[in-house]
Amino acid sequence: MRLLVYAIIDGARVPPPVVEPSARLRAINVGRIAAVVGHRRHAPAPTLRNIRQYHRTVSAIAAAVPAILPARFGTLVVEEELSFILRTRAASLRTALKHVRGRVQMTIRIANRGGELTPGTETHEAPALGPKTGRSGSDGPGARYLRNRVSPEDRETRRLLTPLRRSVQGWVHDEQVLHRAGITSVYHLVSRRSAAAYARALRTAAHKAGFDIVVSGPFPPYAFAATM
Amino acid sequence: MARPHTDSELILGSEDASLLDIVDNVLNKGVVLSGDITIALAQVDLIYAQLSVLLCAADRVLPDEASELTERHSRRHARRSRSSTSYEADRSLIRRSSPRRRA
Amino acid sequence: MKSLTYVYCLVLSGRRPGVSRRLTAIGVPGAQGTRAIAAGRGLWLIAASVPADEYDEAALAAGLQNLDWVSRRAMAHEAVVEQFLTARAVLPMQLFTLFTSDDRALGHVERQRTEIVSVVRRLERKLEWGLRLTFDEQAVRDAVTAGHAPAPAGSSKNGSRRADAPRQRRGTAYLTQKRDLLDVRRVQLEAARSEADRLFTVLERDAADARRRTSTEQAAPGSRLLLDAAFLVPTSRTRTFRAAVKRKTKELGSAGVIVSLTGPWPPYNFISPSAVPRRTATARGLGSRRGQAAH
Repeated sequence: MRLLVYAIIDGARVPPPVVEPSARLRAINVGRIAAVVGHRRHAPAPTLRNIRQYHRTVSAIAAAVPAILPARFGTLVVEEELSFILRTRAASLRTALKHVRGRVQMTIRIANRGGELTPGTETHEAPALGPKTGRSGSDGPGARYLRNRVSPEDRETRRLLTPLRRSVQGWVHDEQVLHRAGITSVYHLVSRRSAAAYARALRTAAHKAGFDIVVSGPFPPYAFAATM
Repeated sequence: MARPHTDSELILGSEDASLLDIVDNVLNKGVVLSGDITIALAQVDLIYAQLSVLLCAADRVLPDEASELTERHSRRHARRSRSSTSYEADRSLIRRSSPRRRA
Repeated sequence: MKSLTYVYCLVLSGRRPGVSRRLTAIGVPGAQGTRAIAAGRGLWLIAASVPADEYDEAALAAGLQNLDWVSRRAMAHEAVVEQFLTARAVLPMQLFTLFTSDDRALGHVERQRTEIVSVVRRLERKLEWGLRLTFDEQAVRDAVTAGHAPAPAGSSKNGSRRADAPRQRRGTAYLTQKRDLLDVRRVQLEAARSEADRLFTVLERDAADARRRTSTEQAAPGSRLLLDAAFLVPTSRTRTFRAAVKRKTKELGSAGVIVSLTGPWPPYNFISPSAVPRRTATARGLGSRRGQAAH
């Protein structure tokens, strides 16, 4: 039996929140962080059903804790490996938890046919010779900074996003932008209690600027979980 | 299917929206947990494509140590291609040098 | 732990690849003991020990905010990988591929062995060459201007105009020249573009694989970059490939196209297989990601 990791949360002495009793989750504490895990023999296949179930579980955990880092779907490890990971990566995981504490992800989608493809936007993962990494929408701050340095935002995208950004800048703690197939997705990290006001301000700004957007959320901070 | 009237319809209807969000969030996002560290700086090829940017950066940081490297790279980007190098003679057999490890 | 294992590349070689102290000198800052680790069946990891506090996650997270920090290591990484171009195959690892120990690095290779072997098979005895074609607008303008010059001396590409020039009044000559200069952009750039496409198609036939950056097509209309491509060429065909480029360089020069061939490079752009069979693809991006552009 191996452990399927759903999320990293703050460590605690109290038992993990009872979410999805059928999933029989438990928390494995190492230092001041914990991993919420279930038991499985094999990694779940990325079917729609499994993806929905995973999302439901992560959302339920997120509703019960102040800070959560959703794990990459299908993360299956043996217990010793997990302890090793939590020990060696404690510092960066704690920093990441701090970044998302009390915050949620909101997603904006805009039609942007003029938006040029920027690196890191593909969902296809080429077989990597190195260990699998965080990519395509889950880059950490360092990787994003570099990407932007080398390939800054194109004019059309900036034109669309500027009025939107202005309208919500007081609430946004972090941002990621992805382009794919003529649609630009913007992920914003905002405080949980500001989510509704954020969404209203955004829709007003878009209406004023004269283009359509789709705002969704709040979600657990999937796009802001990566540590680098 | 009726032609979409607005861009938001073009993107999705509300049911599709939540499905798209779920799939978008769950696949390719989330923290990667592995004992080993590696990053894919949004592809290495990006770095190499922008080598000229790096050359300037390296020059600024370490004019001395980087100069050999930058010189080689500058030469490479000049019109001349590098002189051909000799290649290892063909070794037709590759012998097992160690027993196969179990994962 | 005090140190981590930094992996530069995998090498396919009948015998242990030579590793000199020089590799440590030109390698990533902080590296020590660059070595070849046997991974079985002719595969070797080229790795070095690096201080954990300089390359652990915290250090990388900070370093990634700094293009200078990254670029210095990127170039050092490249310098080491290039030392193995003469091996039967070299598979560069991505920047900052780090393991907590040699054993864990080997364990990873073992888990990926099937993939690695298939990549090695594809890349064995082949090298990457980069080809950039740029439109030398100035050279073409100069030729046009020279063609309108009143002096009969001097070589001009527009011989016919030269004959007429002394007869034309100054005003007309000026307008004609203006028009021709504008034509440079519109007509000759288009012509140069099709020449570039043609060259890519010709060279693609001789290569095992070829990739081009699609964004040049989306570039601004006046863009001078006509082609940015990478070719995977069997080493046995290096000479013919380079000769073909050289031949074309002369032809293209007269159309105002500058040819820049660089290499050989480690096959960074060919680690992943093309999504689309080569012969039916019209254009694809460099590297795995950009190649799968349209959804």
